[in-house]
Amino acid sequence: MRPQKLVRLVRASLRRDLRGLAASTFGIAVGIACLVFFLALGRGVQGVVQQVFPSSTREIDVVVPQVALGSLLGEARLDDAALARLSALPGVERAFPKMQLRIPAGVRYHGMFFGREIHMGLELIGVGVPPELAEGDAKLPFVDGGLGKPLPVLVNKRLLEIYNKVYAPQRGLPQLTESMMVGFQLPIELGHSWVAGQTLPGTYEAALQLAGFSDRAVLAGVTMPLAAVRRINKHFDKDADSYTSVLLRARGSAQIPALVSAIKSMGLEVDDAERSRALQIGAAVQLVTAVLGLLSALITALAATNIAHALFASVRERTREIGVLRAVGATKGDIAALILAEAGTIGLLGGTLGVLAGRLVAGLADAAAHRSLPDFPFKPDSFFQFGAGLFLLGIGVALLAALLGAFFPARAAAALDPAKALSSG
Amino acid sequence: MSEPALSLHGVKKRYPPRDGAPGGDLLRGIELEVAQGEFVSIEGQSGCGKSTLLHLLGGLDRDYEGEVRVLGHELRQLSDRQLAGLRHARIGFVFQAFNLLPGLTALENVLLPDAFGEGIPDAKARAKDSLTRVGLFDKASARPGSLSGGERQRVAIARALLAQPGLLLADEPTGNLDARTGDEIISLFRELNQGGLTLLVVTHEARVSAAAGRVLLLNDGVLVRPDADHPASVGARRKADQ
Repeated sequence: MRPQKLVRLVRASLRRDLRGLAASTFGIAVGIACLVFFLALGRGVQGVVQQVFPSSTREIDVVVPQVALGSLLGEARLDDAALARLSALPGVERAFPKMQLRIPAGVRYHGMFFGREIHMGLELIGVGVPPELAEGDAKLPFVDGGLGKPLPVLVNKRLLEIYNKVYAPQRGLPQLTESMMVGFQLPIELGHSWVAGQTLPGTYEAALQLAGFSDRAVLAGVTMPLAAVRRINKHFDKDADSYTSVLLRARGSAQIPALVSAIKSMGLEVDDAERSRALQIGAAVQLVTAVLGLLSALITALAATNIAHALFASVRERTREIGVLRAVGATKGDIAALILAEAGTIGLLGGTLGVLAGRLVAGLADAAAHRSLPDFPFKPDSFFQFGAGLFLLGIGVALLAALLGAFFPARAAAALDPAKALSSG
Repeated sequence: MSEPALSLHGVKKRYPPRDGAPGGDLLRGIELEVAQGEFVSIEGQSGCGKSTLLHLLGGLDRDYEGEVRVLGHELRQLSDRQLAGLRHARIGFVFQAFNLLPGLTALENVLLPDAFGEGIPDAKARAKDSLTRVGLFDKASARPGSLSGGERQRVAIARALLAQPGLLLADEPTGNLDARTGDEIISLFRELNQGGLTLLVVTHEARVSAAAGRVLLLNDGVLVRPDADHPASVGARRKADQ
């Protein structure tokens, strides 16, 4: 049967029972609206989790165990030799050593700050990383310029979010953007702690220059080029050879378990507190999304059952008509195609209405959230993440459900004995 | 001599047991030959197996014994798809209940066979011709619900003629029509037959048989020549009287 003729027959057939068409379409649309709504919500929340706890499934941090026989004896060290061994582990794509600033350091600032006079004093934790690790995030050169030059630093994006959503509103300070802050300089006193009242020999003043914001930057402190941290530690006669941690990037997440056991056999440890927290929260969100998705799939399945019932009834009602179609030349396949095409039309219609309804309800939920929820860090513009893929999935599931629902009625219609069908009431 | 349009030899058909009643023989050895261009009427009482015989001839019922040849094809040797093709291109059906699709217009109903198989060449033009031939061109866009019984039957005949078939099988074509409308349909059949179409009509109405070239009686599962005294052969008796 040619498609345009099939369409003509389907249209005529559906037009005859508009109430039945509306009921079947509504059932599918409700299921698909729920499915699209919950999946988009899950994706949106997952996006927020990723923003709050950025983590990669193929990266792990290697540290020296805090209490270990090796460390007590001074054997477990993350030095260049250990770095070379870690880099050579099978499945490792790259290793990035990190070194902590091993002296106290603080910034004090009294002056104008975007139109407001501020007075600030902060003791800083500094961590040095290879510049390649922050590639793409640094808007200014992220390399150590040497003594007397400003120290380029990266700040975690989450700090800016917390400042904007919590700190600034409470103090009437201006809202900041990344581009406003890049290039901003603050004086830093290296080797002096106001908190501990400690001044190290060789204390000196320098300047910090904000080079950019990065998810990879340390959360409570600043991230500097590794060479700068090494130079400063050496200046104060501190350990400038061993690393605080090494970030290992595996070729794929499948290699992580083997890498973890290899690391443990080297007497080292994996610090995956933040990563596992992110993974746990992500898994929880996925689980809830899956449960809600399943619920929606159940609603869609019920709608498919409803379609099956409606089509069975329709086939029973149209038995004689099916006999006529056979008499004018329709094959069994033509009859099955006709019933399936009717169901497919219901599926496409229900799916399209469903995704539109899901999008609409999500929009209303977002609007309600904006009106009624207070501003908080990482509050997203939308709690939902839609996309063409999700729309296509919704319509595809609707089509599939309708076709599955129509399978048995179509088979029954095709199997009708034409002579008996013509003789039916 | 050309091959007959229809030939049946030793055709038997049993009906299955139903509601506790045993099955039985409905057709008990039908012998029939219908020549090309012939107009044959088969009479018989209700339930004697006339419609069943028509379904066998149209390849709609394949559960029988014996040999059924239609337009040169031994039906038993054809697949379901080939049978559908034969019905599509060469056999037209007319039913007592018209059997038009209510969601389609008269023209769309006539075009229905074009939806299947390879379609019908120049289907739209032919459909309009068919409607003109049955006198309903001006009702082409009317839906069946707005047509009278006679008009519906004429649309059904136009549908049966769309593919310009060699054989028209009609099952009680005037059964649901009043006398005047029934006469119109009968004269249309006569006209079609004069144009060379082979017609086989099963009926229990004498006026239909009166138009046929040959009348047969289906009685007790076999086809017989009508006997003027046979109570089942009202039409035949009237014809015999004339």
